[in-house]
Amino acid sequence: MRGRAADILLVEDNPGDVRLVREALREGAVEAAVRWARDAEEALACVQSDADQAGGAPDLILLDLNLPRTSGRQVLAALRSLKHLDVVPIVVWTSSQAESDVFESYALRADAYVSKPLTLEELVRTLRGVCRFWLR
Amino acid sequence: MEHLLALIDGDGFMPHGHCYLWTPALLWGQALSNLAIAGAYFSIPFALTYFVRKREDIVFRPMFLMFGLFIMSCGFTHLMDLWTIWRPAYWLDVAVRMFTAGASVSTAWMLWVAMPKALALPSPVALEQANRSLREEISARKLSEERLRASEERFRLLVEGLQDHAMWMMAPDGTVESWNPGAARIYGYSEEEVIGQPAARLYRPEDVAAGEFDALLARARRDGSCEEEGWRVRRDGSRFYANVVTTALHGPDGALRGFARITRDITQRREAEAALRAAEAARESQARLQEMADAMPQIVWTSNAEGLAEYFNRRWYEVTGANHEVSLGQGWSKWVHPDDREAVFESWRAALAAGEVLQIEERIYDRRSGSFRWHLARAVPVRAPGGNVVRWFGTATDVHELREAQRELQEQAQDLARSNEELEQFAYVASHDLQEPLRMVSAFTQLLERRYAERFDGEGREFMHYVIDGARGMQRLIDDLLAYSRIGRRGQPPRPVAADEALGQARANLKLAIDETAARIDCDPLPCVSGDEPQLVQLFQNLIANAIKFRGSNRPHIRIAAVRHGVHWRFSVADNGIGIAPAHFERIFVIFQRLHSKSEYPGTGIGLAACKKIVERHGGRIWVESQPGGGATFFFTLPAVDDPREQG
Repeated sequence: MRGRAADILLVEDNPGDVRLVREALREGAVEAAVRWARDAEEALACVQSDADQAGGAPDLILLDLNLPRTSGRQVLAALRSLKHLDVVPIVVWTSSQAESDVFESYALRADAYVSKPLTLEELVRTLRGVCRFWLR
Repeated sequence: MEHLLALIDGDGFMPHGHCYLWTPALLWGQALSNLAIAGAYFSIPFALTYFVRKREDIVFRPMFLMFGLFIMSCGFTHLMDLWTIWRPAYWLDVAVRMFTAGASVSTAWMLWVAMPKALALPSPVALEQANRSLREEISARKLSEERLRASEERFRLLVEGLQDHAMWMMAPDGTVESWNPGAARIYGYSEEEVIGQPAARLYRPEDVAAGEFDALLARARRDGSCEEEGWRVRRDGSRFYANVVTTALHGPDGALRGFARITRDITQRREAEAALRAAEAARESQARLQEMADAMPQIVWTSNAEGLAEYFNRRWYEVTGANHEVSLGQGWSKWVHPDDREAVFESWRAALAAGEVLQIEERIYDRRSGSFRWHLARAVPVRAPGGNVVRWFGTATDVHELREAQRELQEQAQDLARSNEELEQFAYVASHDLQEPLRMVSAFTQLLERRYAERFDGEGREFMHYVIDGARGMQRLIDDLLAYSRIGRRGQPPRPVAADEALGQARANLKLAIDETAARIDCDPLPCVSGDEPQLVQLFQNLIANAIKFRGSNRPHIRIAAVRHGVHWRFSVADNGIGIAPAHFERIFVIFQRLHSKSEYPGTGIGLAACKKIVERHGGRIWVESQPGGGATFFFTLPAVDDPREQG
């Protein structure tokens, strides 16, 4: 783990889920700051402003597929089209277990596909694992 | 020569003239009278001969001969008397006289002998009378002879003239005695060939062997006459069917003289009768067919080999109101819906060309309803023994209601499928979307429990417990509902599955429960079926899990078997558990239906519903047989398939 807190961009329209991710990271003792984008526009604006400020980028993007107006898949495609985000891991973070969603996500160059766990305990373990793997 | 002359001249004796002292008158008297007597005597045999010759009817003919001989020899005696007057040839004289004596005595003896017969000879008057009566008799006889001759002639002409009747005679022993031209013509044997031959050769050998010929003769002898019909054999071996009248012939003494037979060749008549009977039968059969065709609820028709209609049954005229002449040929097409005509003609032409069965649906005008009604038309080629199509036989069945019903059914089936799909889609979406808020509820309540449990008092913790428990129950329901809706959505196309492998997987999945309850599972070798393997695993798993769950107080004992039933295998999963009351047999297969409280037997009530859905998706059926307390046996059927493992 790096010395400073990790910068995680969470693209998620449900505030409850955002809170859950934050609490789970806290329960899992993961040092991370979670920035929240509630839709495609906010997400793109966020990474754009990062780029404008000395070519910065989040350490990890957690992307929900179920977003209002523009779907998570379109956001994934848009994010992957940005050169400076090439090295940023994007983990699809969704409640869908449909195979089609899994295949399409990887086809759009997602780095991982993770189903949102149903219990708090699993949620904590999962997020800790994801962060341990992708935030190095 | 010397001796002969001596015999005639005489030697050593005196001529007889010496006795007359050569008295000329005496000499010449003796000489002339003896000459006259001899001359007269010599003429008599000639007269007699002439008489006998002329009178062929003469009786006592030998007598006349003897008499001629006697007179002739007397004539020679007198000549000798004349000769001896001058020449003493007494030895010759005595020889002639001895011959004459013999002839005379013989003639006299014959005369006496014949006397009684001569006396019996009628007198000329009587003879005349007799002659007259004889003449009359002769003329009468001549007349009768003439008649007889004429009659015989007629009879002969009759017998010989009859060409169509064999009239012939047979000896008592069965050999042919007479043969007329008719017989020769009918049998082919000439008279010379057949006379004296056994008549049995005119019969078929098998009939003779069967004793028919002998039986016939016996019958004719007993009854006097008999008539029979049967097969006969001609000279060339060919056969004909004959009518034969056999009459036994008896002499005046009553002895059997033979048999008269009249044979007629009735082969043609018999054939004509047979043909007539056949024609009659055909007419009857045709009438019956016509009646049948008319009684049929379908339209029935026939066409010639070219496809031109020749016949319609009554139904056609009832339905269409068409008249006979207009319907024939291709006229029937006027009553076919205009939109269907072209298709009908096209397939009809194709069927005619190929000689193959035609089947097509067409709309035919029904004057009773005033509308076109759907009919199923079929035409079948009728072939001659050689294979050529000689006729077409067709029917048209009103399938209007059927078709409408079918269409409706199809629509309903489509609606149902759509509705089912929608329902599954709904169940899937609903359970998926329900899961999102539920995830929030359970995660945050767990968070609450984790961080604030110490701050709650007893009641707060109790409430918290119910919230968590409720969320967990709802989660299970949603999971089951999702799994259930996935049976239809996520099914694999059927392929051969070894049922014992699916069962093995199910047992592995249930290992914990099986070990915990020490359940005993007995299993026959299971067949290969056509199906979706994960679903079959789920099927066995749900049934075994159920058997373990509802085990009551007994150690679970589960028996699994399969029996072949036609194209299906019928599986059975029997347990020794608490059983089910018959009233609930249907209900247990309905989703979320439970017979027990959750505290007794936890669960959502999805297991058997899933089983039913899996079995039905495989085209099978599931049911249960049970008594409360007596265990339960679940049966289900799955389509059989050849075991690929056995085929190598």
